[in-house]
Order: sequence, then structure tokens, then C-alpha cells
Amino acid sequence: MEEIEIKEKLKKFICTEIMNDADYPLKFDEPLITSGLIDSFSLAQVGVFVEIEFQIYIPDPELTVDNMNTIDAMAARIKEKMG
Amino acid sequence: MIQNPEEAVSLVEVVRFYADRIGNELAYMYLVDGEDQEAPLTFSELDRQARAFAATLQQHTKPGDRALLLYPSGLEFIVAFFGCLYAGVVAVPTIVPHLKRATPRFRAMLSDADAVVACTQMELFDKLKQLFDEYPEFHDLKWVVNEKLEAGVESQWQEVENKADDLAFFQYTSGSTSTPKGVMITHFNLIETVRDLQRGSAFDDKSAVASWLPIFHDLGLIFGLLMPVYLGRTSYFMAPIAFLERPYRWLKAISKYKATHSAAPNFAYDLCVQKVTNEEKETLDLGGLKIIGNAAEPVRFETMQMFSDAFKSCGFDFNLFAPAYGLAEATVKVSGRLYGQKISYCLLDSDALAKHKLVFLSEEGPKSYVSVGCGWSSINADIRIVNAQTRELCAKDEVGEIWVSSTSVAQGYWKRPEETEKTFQAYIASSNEGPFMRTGDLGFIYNDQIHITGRIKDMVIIQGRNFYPQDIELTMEKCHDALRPSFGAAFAVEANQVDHLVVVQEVKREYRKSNDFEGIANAIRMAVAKNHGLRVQAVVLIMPSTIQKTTSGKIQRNATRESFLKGNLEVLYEWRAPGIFS
Repeated sequence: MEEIEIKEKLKKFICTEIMNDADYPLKFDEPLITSGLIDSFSLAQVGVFVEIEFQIYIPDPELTVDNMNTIDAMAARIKEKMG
Repeated sequence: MIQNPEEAVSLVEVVRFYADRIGNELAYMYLVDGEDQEAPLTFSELDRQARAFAATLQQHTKPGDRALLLYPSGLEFIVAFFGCLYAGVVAVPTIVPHLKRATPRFRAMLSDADAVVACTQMELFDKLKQLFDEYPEFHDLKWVVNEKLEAGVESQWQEVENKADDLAFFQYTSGSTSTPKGVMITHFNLIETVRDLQRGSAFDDKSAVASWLPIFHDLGLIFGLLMPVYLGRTSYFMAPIAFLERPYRWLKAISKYKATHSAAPNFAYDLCVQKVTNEEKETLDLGGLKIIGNAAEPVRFETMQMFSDAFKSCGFDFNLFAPAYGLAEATVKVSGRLYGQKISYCLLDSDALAKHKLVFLSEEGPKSYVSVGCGWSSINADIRIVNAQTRELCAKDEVGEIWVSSTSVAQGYWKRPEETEKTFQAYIASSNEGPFMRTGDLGFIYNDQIHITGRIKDMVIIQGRNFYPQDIELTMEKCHDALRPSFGAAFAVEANQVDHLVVVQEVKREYRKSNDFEGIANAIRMAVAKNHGLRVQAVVLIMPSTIQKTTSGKIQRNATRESFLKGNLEVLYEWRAPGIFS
């Protein structure tokens, strides 16, 4: 899977399921949590989505704000886990 | 003889009083098949049979000895229970052991109570005899069987003067399987609890109870069977199995016998909504009810709303519900909605609640939690909310452990002085007020009503946040149609010094051959993450009717956790996060 596809899937999930704003023009490098777009509890949802969608697992210690604050950062980690 | 039940220190005096005044009136009506087959017992017959039973017990016991009561639902149990009270013998009602093998719980109880006598009825006795060879401790007991009482033996009864603080009976707590604890209830505890229930629910000389609850369980025994006696009124009752087979029977009994009072755990109301058909509803008139208790497990606002909507056409109204709270250590009741009061509830922020803080919301939202008030005591109990660690009183906006001091608080656990001191002899740290009984339940007081938020020992603490398992269970069961409501357990499992959330959930019978268990498990993982900001690290879907529950229908989270760890669950599908559990 291409990184851009991963990013688009993440963007769609975050905008529709977490932000409840499917049309929000979320940029891939836009800070999500530190900017208050989503709260840190939502990371659990992102984590489960990633597990189910990409068939990988991100352990709790890695599911942190600094690792997961932008779509770019998330996608890089997912790509790495997918090997 | 007493002139008024208010003077009585024991229920023996109460039965004697009514046998004398209104002997021909009905004390009990056992509905043998849950429907039309009736077995009546008048006050004078109750008194005579209790004397006969007591006289027989007196041949083998002295006051204060313990007698195990092994009975299915029915009048024989009632006679035996009162027979014990009449003889000054401590009654120990128990669940009947499995007839092929005595459960470890039952044997532990038997040995703990040091019973010298066991009482039962003929049919069961014939079956229990098969266990005698295997379990010598059964053989060694002296057995008293209702049907074998000598004719006329009641004349040999020697009246016993029960004092207020003499032990009346033990209630064994659900606790863990290996170490059941006998809660010691005195005659005064018992009669004060009966008064508490009677006053709170405005049970009067025109009232009657209809009940299907287990007779060996505090709510079934005291609310279902003993409270009506206090006012010389009738209890119409059936076996739990009659209700579970066909929940309609319970509501039909309320309707047919014009019962004003009844009670059941929350799950029973869900069951009625699911199982009672429209044709059956047409035959029901629930308009005669004054109050119907919702107790013995967490009270759910949604359930009460659904039940009220479903049975509105039968004359039922939401405000008939009396949410109530109690535990065996307080005989049965701590608090309940008082008759005449409206049901009180509030909306709380669940994130704040996870930190034991109360933040009230004005409207429902994704993180709101509806908390239902469980009323108050009707016998002037002193009820406090205390920080379980510091033992100081909590502030008004804090959740803490519920501590109780009242005439219904039991004397402690039989033969367990250390645990008795820990639970029954608690003092507020700075003021030294006490002693209080520690309930182990968490809650708060709002608008003069107790609200329960969970049990301390069940709390799931993950990444420093507190979760109430029942909240997670509720999220879980609502997220997919395949899941059986009230048959799921959420608990923490430790791995590598970190606690992880694990859920076990039954699927409905019609889904047990589903080809999309993975989709169901995914729905659970997503819903819990969304509603609680927490990842489930293992999801186990199990066969219907295999989750462990207590005899009163409460989910046994600890036992379920043990089964998860030992691999003893009847698994249909399991997902585990990689690398966490060995």
C-alpha cells in the first residue's frame, strides 16, 4: 500500500468518525492533538482503526501524542510496521 | 404477646400475633407452576407448622446452633425458616447443590457454618442421599425433613425468648468460590430491615407482594417473603425458573392477585421487554402496583424507560419504579426510592467520573452518563461518602466509598474476626466517628439520594484512569445486535506490570454460528475506544448461557477473569492484541 493511500484513509476516518466534519480540509502535516482538533482520548479510536484497517498493531507506549500528532507521523509509523 | 408489630423484636412474635388475630387469612400462596396451581398457607397453619418444625429441631439442637436449609422454592422452605426462628436456631439458607456433585462453594459453606442440622423436603432429600457416600460430611449431619415430622409434635415446642441481638440467620455472600463468608444477621437486624422496606415502600394493610426471586437470596427472602408477614398480608410467590421460562408469569401474578409491591434485578425488566408478547400484554393489568423495586444489580435508566414504554398499555408508569441499593452486610437494604418521591437522576460527565469527580451536564452527549438515584434509608441510617484511602469524608463533588451505620447493619462475618473488623469497624480518620460498615461500593449523594457508580474491587484502572466495568459492558452490548445484553464482563488483566482491558461477551443464540465474529469483535473494539478512549486488548466472544453469574444474576467478573486466564471459556471467537498475553 502506498503511503498516500494510508494517509487518505486516515484523513477520512479522522474527519468523519472523530471530528464529525467530513468536509474539513485536514492537511497531512496539521497538528491534530496539540492543536485541539481531536483530544488525546481519540487516539484509542485511531489505534483500533489502524489495527483493523492495516492489520498491524501499535502498542500502547507508541500510541502517544508525539508519535501520532499528524497524519504524516501516523502514516510513517504504520508504513514502518507494515514492513 | 405483643399488641402491635412495632413492639416486636423478632418475627416470631409477629407471626404469633397474626395467627392469633387473623389466623385464617393467607400468609403465603405458592404458585407451584407459576400459573394456576396454588398452594396456600394461612397464618395459623404457618404458626402450627413452624412450631412442629421447631419442636423437631429442638430434639437435636440448642439455641444458637446452625441449621442449613436446602430447599427449592416452596412453602416447605418458609416453614423451615420460621421453624428455625421459633427454635432459636440460626437458619442458613443455601442454594441447593448440584445433584451429581456437591459444588466446592457448597462444601466450603457447609464446613464454615459448622451446621449440626440440615433441613430439606422429601423429594430433594431422596436425591441428596445419592451424595452421602461421596461426601461423608452430608452423612454426618442430622437431617430434618418436612414431610417426616411427627404428627402432633408441635405440642412439644418449647417457646424460646429471642433477644434483639440473638442471631437469626446467616446470609452467605457471593464472594469468591472458595471462601464464602457468612454474614451474621440478628433478629433485630431482620425486623428493622423489614420495617425499612415496609416504610420506604408504603406497604400497608391493603398491600400484597408478588415475587419470583430466589428464596435463599436476601431480596427474595426479606422483601419477597418476610415483609408482607409484618403487616399480616400475603406473599404470592413462584420459583425463579417459572419466571425465567416464561417472564409473563410474574407480571400475570401481579395482575391476577392485585399485588401492590414487587421487586427484581434490572435484567428481569429487560427480559420482560424481550419476551412478553402483545397478546400476553392484553391480559395484564399492572395498574394496581404502588411500587416495583429495581435492586440487586446496577439500575439502568434505559431499561426502566423501555419497560415503561412496553407496558404502558397495561397501566404501568415509569414512576412506579423504586431503584434501590443494598447488600447482605446491611441485611438487604441500605436505601430505596421512597413511595411518593419521584425517580431522581442526573447526567454526569463520564471522563470526570473516571477521575472520581462529579461534573453535572445539562444535556445528553457522547460522554454523558445517566446516574439513577437509589433513594434513602427509612430507618435513619447514617450514610456517608468516604475516601477509601484517606478515610476522610469526600467533598460534595467527589465519588467515594459508601459507609453505613444503621440498625440493619449485620454483626459481622461468622468466625472471621479480622475481616469483620476491616469491614464493620471503620472510623472516619479525623473525627473518629463510627463504627461504620464499609460497603465496598462507590457512589455519591445527590438531592438526598444515594447514587451508585460501581464497586471498588471491580474498578478497572488503566493508564491512571478509573473505569467502571458496567459502563464498558453497556457500550459493548449496545454496539452490535449479535450481543446478548447483560451477559458481558469487562475486567483488567495484568501483563508485564501493566493492566490491560479484556472483555468477554456472550453472543445471542441465533448468532452462535455467525460467519462474521471478526466483524462483531471489531465493532466492540471500536465502540469501546470511541466511548471510553481506551483500547480493548482482548475480545472473547463466548457461547450463550456460559458466562459466570452469581445466584442472583450478577456478572462474576473475577471468576470470568480467572476463566480467561486459565483458558476455560467456551470460546466462539477470540482476538488478542499481539505480544501482550502469554
